[in-house]
Amino acid sequence: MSHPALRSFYLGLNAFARRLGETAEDDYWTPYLRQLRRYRFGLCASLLPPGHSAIYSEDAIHQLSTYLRRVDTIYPTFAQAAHGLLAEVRPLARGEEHPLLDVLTTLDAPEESGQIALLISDLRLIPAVAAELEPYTSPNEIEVVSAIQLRRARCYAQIVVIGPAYWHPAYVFDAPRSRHIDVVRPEWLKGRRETGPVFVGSARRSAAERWPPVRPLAVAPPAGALEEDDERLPDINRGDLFAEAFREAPIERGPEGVSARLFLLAGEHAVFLEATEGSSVHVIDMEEDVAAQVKRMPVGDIEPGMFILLRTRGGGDYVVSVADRLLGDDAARCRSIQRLWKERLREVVRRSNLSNVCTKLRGLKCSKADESNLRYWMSERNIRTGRYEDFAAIMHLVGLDRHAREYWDAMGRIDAAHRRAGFEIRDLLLRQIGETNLVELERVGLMDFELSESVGGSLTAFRVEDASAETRTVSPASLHRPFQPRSTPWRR
Amino acid sequence: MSEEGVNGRKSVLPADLYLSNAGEKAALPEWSRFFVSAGSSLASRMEAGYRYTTGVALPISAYAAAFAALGIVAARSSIPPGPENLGEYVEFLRGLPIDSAVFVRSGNRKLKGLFRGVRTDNGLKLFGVQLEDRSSGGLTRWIPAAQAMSIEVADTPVKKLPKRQKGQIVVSKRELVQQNRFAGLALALGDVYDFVTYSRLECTIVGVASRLNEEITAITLSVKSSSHGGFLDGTLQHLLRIREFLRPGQAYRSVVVSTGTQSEKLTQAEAPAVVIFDGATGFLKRRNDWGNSHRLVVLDRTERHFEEAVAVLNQEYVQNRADDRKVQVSERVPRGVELMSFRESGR
Repeated sequence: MSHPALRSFYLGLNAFARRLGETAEDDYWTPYLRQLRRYRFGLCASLLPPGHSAIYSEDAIHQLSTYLRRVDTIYPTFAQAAHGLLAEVRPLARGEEHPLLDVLTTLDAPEESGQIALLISDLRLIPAVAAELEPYTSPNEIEVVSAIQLRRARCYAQIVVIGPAYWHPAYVFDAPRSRHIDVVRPEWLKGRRETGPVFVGSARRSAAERWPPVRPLAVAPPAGALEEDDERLPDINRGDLFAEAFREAPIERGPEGVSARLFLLAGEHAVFLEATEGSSVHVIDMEEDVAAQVKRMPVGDIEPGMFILLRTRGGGDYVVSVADRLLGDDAARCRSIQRLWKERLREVVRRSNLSNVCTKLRGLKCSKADESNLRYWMSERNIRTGRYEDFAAIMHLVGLDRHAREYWDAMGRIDAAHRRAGFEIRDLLLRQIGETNLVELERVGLMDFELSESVGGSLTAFRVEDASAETRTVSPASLHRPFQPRSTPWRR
Repeated sequence: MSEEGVNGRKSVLPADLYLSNAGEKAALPEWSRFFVSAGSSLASRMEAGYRYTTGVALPISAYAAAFAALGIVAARSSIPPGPENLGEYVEFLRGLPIDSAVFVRSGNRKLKGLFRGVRTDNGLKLFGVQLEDRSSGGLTRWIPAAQAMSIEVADTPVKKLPKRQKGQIVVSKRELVQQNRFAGLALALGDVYDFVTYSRLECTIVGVASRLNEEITAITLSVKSSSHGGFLDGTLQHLLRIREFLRPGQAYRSVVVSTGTQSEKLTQAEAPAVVIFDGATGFLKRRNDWGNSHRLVVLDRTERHFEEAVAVLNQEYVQNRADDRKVQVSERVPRGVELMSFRESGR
């Protein structure tokens, strides 16, 4: 794919980032570089018209222009280059090219009859690309797909890969779903990919014995025209990705804060999930048996590619509302007891501190008393301690020891109701999922499930795109609530 | 085509098996014969003190484990459940816990019972099986060790013994052989009756149970039958006899362990000859559960944990392999399939 203006912008941005060096990591330059990279990537990864709303935002560029007014003062050395780069964007966006259609019309027709798959590396862009093609092709001719859809057994007459090979998982090429794969990439990117056996003791060493070669559509780049950085894989820098979302996190510094991990989800969403031991969420795991696809999974075991189910409509925790229905007339009494001892415990901690309270509890034979557990016991997501002795110690500490056994039993009723609620929700979801086209869920990465009247509201299945290794202490109110970070981190 | 099987007897690779669809017959594709051969080759390894591992990386893993299991069962089908196994089985029964649920074959009937241990009477070792409830006397039959093979461990517990038990009539030998002609021909079985009445764990497949069920029970295979002037039809299940897909009490040769299973009761006597890991997840979770069994690791390049499983297998190859001896697969490795094999010592 040849495009002089895009090439100039693309390579110019790389050159500018190199000139910045370590300064590129400064808070000032991060949003500037991120926005421009986002546009650049969107152009090359989708081949949408340069001014398409899915990849270009006039508001964002206008804000960047305003933002750059300070650069003359703060970074005078880089000011001219920064302004110059930004000045290339608007003319680029006003171009009337239609690179996607141009490419598709130049393709050789597949030798076999059948559908063509157009592979887009970024899920967010798939709906826009599909809509762009709709007036010109039928879905029977060309299907816009994600790499995940190419994991299935279905084969195509031809696969057209948009972007260099290294923007896509290796299996697209190593486990191809077509005899013919065309790669459409900017001519200034070499597009090499790693090939070779995966086993160190492989019985087969010759690459020639593997699948037919991929046909690159781009012309070989002119000698000496490439910058060395073009070879680099688009690296998802975890620090950048999560730093931005953590910046917006409602950090809880008080004793009621809960340790949480941040998960990046499809559709530019993010969510904090409690990271304490024992915490879990409902997931859909496509790689499991149908009967086992919906299950409760420890937060620590959640991996990219899985789908987590989060409440998106309807108040409160969906498990709690079902559990309360199961508790019936006893729900009010049990929940009142739960609130009472937790509030008293929080009050004790507020008047002192976590460490002192832990020491007191250990003195009362509470063997599990540490700061992490204490936070968990204070949180709404905890029902009771694991052992009666630990619960009795807490009751003694908060002046409720006369009611220890009664309250322990009441918490036991809540616990049992929560378990039954979990099974009921799981069965409900299994029935719904059985009637749902999960291919669409895999393609788009998120899907709503309306819950029955007994539960109310809806759940949304979000594909997990990435997970933070570190944890932060956040307000309990922010847990399990999907949000959209204002500025979504982007690939380099 | 055939290759030497265990004990020097010829085992049959089903080159004369066909895929059957709406009356049309097609020869098994090359890649399926490769997996049959891969399984058979592993099952034929008999060197004491060594465990072989074969890893395969595939563009798609559908049916790979099923056909590999066929090769394993076929290779070992020539081993008779006769006297050579009796000694091992007697030792196994000696270690069976009291009150274990068992079946006893008696004539053309099968009775359920509770194991009552072993005793010696006039130098004769006897195994006790209680067949009736205590309230009616608790009839216990003492079976000589020579007939130990008539005692079979049940898969499901016995909640309560009947007061009087006649037992279930099992199909007569002649009828059983008749019903299992497909298996007899496809595997060139010397004794069809033994094959379908005696359980012996040849192969364990760790994978997604529902998918394996579909692969093993859904497609129809055919074998030429000169005596019937045409073809006999069956499924892979007729050949693999997977316990989870049979009725309770039926004799099995293979077992499926779901990747989602948290724990599985495994006794030493139930260690299979070969374990097939159908997918990376099962391999990563359970790769050390059967220390004495050969392993076939089937990895799909498109699955989530492919790279992780490859890394583990590579590490085992580098750190654990005893020498450069490999499992030789007689069929050509199909295009797109990558294979690695090695053996470890001290098992």
